[in-house]
Amino acid sequence: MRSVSAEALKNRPLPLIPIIVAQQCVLLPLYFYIPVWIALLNTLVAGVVIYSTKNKRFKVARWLKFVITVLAIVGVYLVFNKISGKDAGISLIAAMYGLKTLETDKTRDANLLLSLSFFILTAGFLFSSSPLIVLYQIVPILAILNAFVTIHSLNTQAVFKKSFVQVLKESGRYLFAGLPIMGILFVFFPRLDGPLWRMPGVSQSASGISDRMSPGEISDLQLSDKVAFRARFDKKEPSSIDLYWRVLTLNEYDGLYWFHTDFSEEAIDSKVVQKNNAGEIKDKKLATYSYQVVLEPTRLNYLVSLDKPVKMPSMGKIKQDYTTQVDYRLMNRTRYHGESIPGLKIEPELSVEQKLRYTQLPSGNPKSRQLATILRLEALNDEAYINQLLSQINQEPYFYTLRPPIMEEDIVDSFWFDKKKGFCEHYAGALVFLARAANIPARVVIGYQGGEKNPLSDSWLVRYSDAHAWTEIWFASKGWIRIDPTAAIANHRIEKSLLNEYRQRDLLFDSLEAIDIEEPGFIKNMSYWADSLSHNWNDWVLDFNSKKQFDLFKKLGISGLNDKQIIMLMLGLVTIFLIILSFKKFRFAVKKESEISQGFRLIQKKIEKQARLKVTGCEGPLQLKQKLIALNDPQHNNLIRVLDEYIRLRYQEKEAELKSINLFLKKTRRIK
Amino acid sequence: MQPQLENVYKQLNKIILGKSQQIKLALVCLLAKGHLLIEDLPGMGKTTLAHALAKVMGLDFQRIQFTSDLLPGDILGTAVYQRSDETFKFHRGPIFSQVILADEVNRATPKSQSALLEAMEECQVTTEGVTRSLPEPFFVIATQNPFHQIGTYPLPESQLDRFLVRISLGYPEPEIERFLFKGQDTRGKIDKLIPAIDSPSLLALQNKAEQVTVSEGLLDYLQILVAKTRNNRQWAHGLSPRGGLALLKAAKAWAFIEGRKFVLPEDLQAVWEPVVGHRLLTLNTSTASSESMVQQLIKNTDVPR
Repeated sequence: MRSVSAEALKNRPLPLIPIIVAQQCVLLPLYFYIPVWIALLNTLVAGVVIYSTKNKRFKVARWLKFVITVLAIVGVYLVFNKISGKDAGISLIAAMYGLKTLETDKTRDANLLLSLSFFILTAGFLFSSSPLIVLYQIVPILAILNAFVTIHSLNTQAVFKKSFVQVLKESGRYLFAGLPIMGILFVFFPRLDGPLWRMPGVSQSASGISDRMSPGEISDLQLSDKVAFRARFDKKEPSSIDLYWRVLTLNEYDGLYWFHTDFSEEAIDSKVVQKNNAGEIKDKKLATYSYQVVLEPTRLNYLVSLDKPVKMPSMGKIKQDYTTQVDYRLMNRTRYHGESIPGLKIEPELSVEQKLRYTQLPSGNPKSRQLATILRLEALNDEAYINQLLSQINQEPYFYTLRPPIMEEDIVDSFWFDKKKGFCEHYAGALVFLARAANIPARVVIGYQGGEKNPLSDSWLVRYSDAHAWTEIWFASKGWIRIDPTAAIANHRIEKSLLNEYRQRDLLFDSLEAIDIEEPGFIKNMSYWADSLSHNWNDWVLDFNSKKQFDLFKKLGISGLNDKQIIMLMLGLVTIFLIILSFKKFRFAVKKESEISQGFRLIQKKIEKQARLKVTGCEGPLQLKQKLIALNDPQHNNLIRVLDEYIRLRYQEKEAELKSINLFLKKTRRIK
Repeated sequence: MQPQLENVYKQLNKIILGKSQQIKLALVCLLAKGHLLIEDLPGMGKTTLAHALAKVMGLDFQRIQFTSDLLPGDILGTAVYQRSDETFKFHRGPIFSQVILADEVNRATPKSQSALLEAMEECQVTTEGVTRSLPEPFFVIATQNPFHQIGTYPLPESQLDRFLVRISLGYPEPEIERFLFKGQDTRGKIDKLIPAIDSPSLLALQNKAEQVTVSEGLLDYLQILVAKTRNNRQWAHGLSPRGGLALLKAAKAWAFIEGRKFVLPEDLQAVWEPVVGHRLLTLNTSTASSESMVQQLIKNTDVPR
């Protein structure tokens, strides 16, 4: 401990380095989202300030500061064409926050800067609210607290050079004390209906399957590991081969793209459907699955449902083709409940008009049309014809690959007769084309197939890489039947690397040599864990809206409070907590123990344990040492040594160095 | 232990048998430039200790027997008319000597007592407007009988405070007493003692003892102890700051005798009772004696870690 004269105390320089460390920690996540030049400017400014602490004479001229500030404002304006709004505003704040260090030379400035840090810390959430960011935020919070502690210890007589662990302990204490208040505010603060953060432009990066299909679109998705949605079944789960997640149907073809046109605006009344099919559902014991889906933003106005939905949330209409449409595009993470019956018979009768629509084809692909005509004539009925096509896929050298050759102008002809290599879109598209060419109503269905079960959270994780296209063919009196031509490909003709690298479609080709999923590896486990974390984070933190809050209050038995009463309750709880804390703090302050005292406490304990001596508080170190010497046992020599060290540090030296104190503490701890 | 001191210590132990702790405390008192109060019954060897101490230190020694008719002039000295040159000449009293044995100090009237005690505090004597300093080192050993003896004027607390250390010798152990009975006359033994030290080196030792280091940690302990005497209902009042300083001085001297250049809590504990015992006035005399309560306080106080 050093004593400092009052004069020196007054002139003691501000500890700028902890402040700058805190500032950079706060800015770090923002650097990924704001223009690079601001990041560079801020680090440059930090460097200059650190340089000026080393060289006292170095000072940035006042006019220069002014010019830099103006330039930064102009720069932000040039990049964004405005200086308000999310991106421009945060860029501007970040730039100004960085520049503020240039004129931080009083405690007042430092206090302001650090308080501002807490505010800027929250700006990161406007860009990302992933749980990892939240974990990271602990670092800047600790850094800010440390800077605060350093500034405020300026006014005290003693300045310790602290080790990293001490800094952590000290700042951690404040953080820890704040946690309950955080919890109370989180639970009780009146909530909006929506999720916690809703910012314009956030979901722009979202993608997924789109409302039309061209070759290559889905296969691009198949390389992405991003989560499309999560689903959890309430009771029973369908077998994985039945996990066809329906998004939308494509019923028109222009020779290049398959796309969706609405034939009818009518929605199905699911109750009527269920009633009509009640007999069949009962006879065939068709399973009904109910499940909950948390859908990531898709920017489509379709919900995902298990094939085929019978009950969807009221905001979504189940359409004639058993896809579920909502009125708006899904820009936010959405949660809903659904019920599906995979074996449901849909549209057993089609009107002439509808049949016509589902058999429409553009001109082109003459070879395919010819093949269709011949094969249909040879076949007994529509089903036999389709089976014939599927067995052709299975018998002839058709390959499944994510790197298909470039097709010629008549895509179907080129694929079916020449290249014979492709992925689900090619197969689905070709099969529908061939069916329609034989005058059989058919359509492409796109969605997701399979998924991955997260053993930790018991939910199914469906990624973009699970995107899939299959077909539905209409047979008289049977209705629309799901036919997946991709599943017909012979196993040995699936690119092995594809399966190994991307685990594509492995649920479809279930007779494949097993890819071991019994024992997930470490990486896999980690990813399950991360997803489970993210899932819970979404569930419990981001989606904690007014409804969930209401439910929680109901559980706590305090429902029926209005906002004002809730706020009163919240403030009351916080006040009670603060009172308790201040009492504790007062008592802790008296009891606070220095390192060297900890060391002696340890020695006392160890003497009791090792030498089996009764140690009373009134015994000084010398008495203890003499007692140990009296035992005359070399085993206690290490204790005697640390006692000597303690005597030296505590009583002999006027000002013991922290380094040797820490060394002493270490030695003491090491004694068994 | 410092070699000269060790010599002194050994020689004294040969005269006063089995009282090494008290001898050490007497040395502490001497090294800390304090005065010693020996409280005991008559015939326990108080005078012998004082006498031997003076002799072995090579200091000149005077003894003042305090009685109820002792006057201040008998201690300090008086001006006597000289017929030859028709002036008053000051005749120095026995106080002008390096070691004073004030025997049975509580038998004298308060007036005479205070004459001694003032001289002890100021190290100088003022009579008839003339101030005369006392020799250095100046060391008073006062003996007193316990209060309940007949014909005593107990020293007021303010004056007890002037003595750095109070010890009592107590009865000797049986085997030592037997040895005493068999042995030769102590008077003769004292005469045979060789001075082991001279006053300049004693002064040097005193200075060294004063330079012993006191750490913050020890001051913590001292303050805790002092504070405890102050908010304790057993005593009329707590330890004064002078008492605290006295403790520190004594502890330093003890550490010096132990051959250390810094003070440990044990040093403070060793001098605690001799330094504090006579400064605290027990309110409830019916229970334990003052000493044991003082000792209790040490036992009940944790040494700050």
